[in-house]
Amino acid sequence: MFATAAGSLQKIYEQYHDQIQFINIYIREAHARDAWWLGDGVIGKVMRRLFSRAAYDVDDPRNSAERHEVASQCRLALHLDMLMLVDDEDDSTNEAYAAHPTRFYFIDEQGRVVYAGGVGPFGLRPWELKKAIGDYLARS
Amino acid sequence: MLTFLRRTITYRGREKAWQQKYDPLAPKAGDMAPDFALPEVGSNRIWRLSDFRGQKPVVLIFGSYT
Repeated sequence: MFATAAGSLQKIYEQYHDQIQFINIYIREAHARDAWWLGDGVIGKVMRRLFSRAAYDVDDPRNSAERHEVASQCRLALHLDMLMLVDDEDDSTNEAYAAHPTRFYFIDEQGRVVYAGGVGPFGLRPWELKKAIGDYLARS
Repeated sequence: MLTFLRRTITYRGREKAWQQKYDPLAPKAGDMAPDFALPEVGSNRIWRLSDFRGQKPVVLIFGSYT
């Protein structure tokens, strides 16, 4: 779940945003109410208590306007200060980066990938991203 | 609990299949990152990854609200 990493990502952003451009790309919902819902029953109660910043009652947005609306709510709730973009209805950027449900990349000034995080949710490792940034800046 | 398990088996299977389809095509370390042109949330302003080429390194963070 992306929300579990939001605090770590905000801290990395605060540390490096003068040197690095951070872009949060909102993609289709991972656990929408009308799909793989985690918000009901005992599991829902536990999830809501453990990860209170995440949303549990959101349907997967069906058009661009709905995506922008949910993305706006997400940005506010997760306290992410970085630039947020919204993927298109065809999920083209999501597919190009195999990003669903969540993933990180670090790209150098020439547009070449320095670090490609593992596929989410199990490959979600903010500490690896932070190390990749630190190593890159130390070499530069 | 049974509903949760059924849902998880169904949707995790679909998620893994999607990842197995697209991950081999996604950029790896050393590859050029695919460009994109996407709107800023709540705005019509379009940003491209290539806007930052020669300017700054970029971190991309993909995610959703749920």
